Amino acid sequence: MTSKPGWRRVYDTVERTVAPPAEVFVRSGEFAKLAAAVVGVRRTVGRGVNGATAMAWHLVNLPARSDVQRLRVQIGALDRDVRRLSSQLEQSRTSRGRSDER
Amino acid sequence: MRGPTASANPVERVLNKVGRAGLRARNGVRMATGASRPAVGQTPKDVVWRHGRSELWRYRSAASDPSDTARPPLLIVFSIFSRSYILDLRPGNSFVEQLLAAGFDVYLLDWGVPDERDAANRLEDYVDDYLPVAVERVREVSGADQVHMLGYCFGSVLALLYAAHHQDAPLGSLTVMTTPVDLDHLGPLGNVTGVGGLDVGALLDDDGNVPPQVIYQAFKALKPTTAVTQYVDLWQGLWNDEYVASYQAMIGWATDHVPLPGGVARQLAQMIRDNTIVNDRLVVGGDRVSLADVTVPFLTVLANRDHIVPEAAAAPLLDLIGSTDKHELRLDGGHVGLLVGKTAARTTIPTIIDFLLRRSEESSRSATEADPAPHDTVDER
Repeated sequence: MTSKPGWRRVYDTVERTVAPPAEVFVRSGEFAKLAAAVVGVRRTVGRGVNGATAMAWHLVNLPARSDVQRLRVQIGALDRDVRRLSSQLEQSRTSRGRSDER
Repeated sequence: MRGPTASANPVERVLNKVGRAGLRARNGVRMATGASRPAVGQTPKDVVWRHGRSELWRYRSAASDPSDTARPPLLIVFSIFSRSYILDLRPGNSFVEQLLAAGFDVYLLDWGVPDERDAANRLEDYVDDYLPVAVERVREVSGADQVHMLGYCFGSVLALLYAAHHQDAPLGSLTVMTTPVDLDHLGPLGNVTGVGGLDVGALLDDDGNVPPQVIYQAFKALKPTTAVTQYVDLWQGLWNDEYVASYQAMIGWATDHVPLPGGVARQLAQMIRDNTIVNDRLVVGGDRVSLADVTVPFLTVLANRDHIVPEAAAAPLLDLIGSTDKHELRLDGGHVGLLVGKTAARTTIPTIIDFLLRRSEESSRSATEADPAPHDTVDER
């Protein structure tokens, strides 16, 4: 591309003015506390909504999304245990094979 | 495709502007309709091992016979925060392509996309389970006794922990790029859990992982004006087909994160609070782990304009490593600029390859350690 058009030079000037203080703010402790607070509020609201929805499903004797998800996480934990065991078995087989070669 | 060029003639200038406006409109419609998605990760590869969601890929080399065991095997350990195709972004702009051309037998450990089965994963899963088996698999496939390992970003941390916790690991060398070690200098990514006191549990999705949107927003917050600047850049270059393709590939990757396992997220938050790496308080699988136990030939690469892993967060690494044969490369660039783009292709990657080749030649020559010759762009200690 050739030299920058006028509108781009204007944008770059504005950006150079705005960006440094914005970056200083996001690197400050105040921003970190604000971000943590926003996440916390969102989480609390989300839990409230999910709890109410789950209660409605439970009233008609059906599992809610959170029940299914909890089950999937439990199965996931079992899957991880099996994965770790198979990996450790593979490692011990390999090391035994190498010591036999020697 | 070449676009209309600038001219001093007023009529030609108007025609140029009209021509560019037409090309902008065409490319804009293509992007909006999704008709021009650039293909990424195009270098042919074979899956040589699978475990959970992870796959070990071996890249095919056009330069030589894939069964040629003389080529030094290089295992790349990628970050668990994003997708690995950044290493093979586009033909002509590919880290992997350059490594193959340099004669390496390249393997990449791709972590895949974690789901609820990975929610309980901890660093030990990667360091003590996946990596040792992947290294063995590379040795089997390549027929080599030693493997050279290269880690990128958080993949570097995993590679370091592996080398420190498995001192008998058959590593010929270890190269790490943009590695966060002094977590007090990590900036906003560390502050939220440190100063902000954020409970990681509040970030987790129903599947027990940190959702990719949260990771994207966290990275996006580091450069607040970037989101606007990206669109301004796009508007300026929208008439240029080549620019649009590169833009789409790069922006597509930068917004394409994967979930972070909740177990790892909790460990990371604790690591940040205690700054465990520089304070030498690392624990992996119940064992104290010290980077001083990393004794293989070592290279760390850091970028002075890295906004994700600031220079101050990566700089202390060399002093923590126990190797006598250890080197540092400080390069002028950003976090991803070490891997993609013209500067990466012309300067960064050749310099890294040069180092890797020297280390692999030395290790193949056997145990005698020779001092590497100084390099123009390298700040060696």
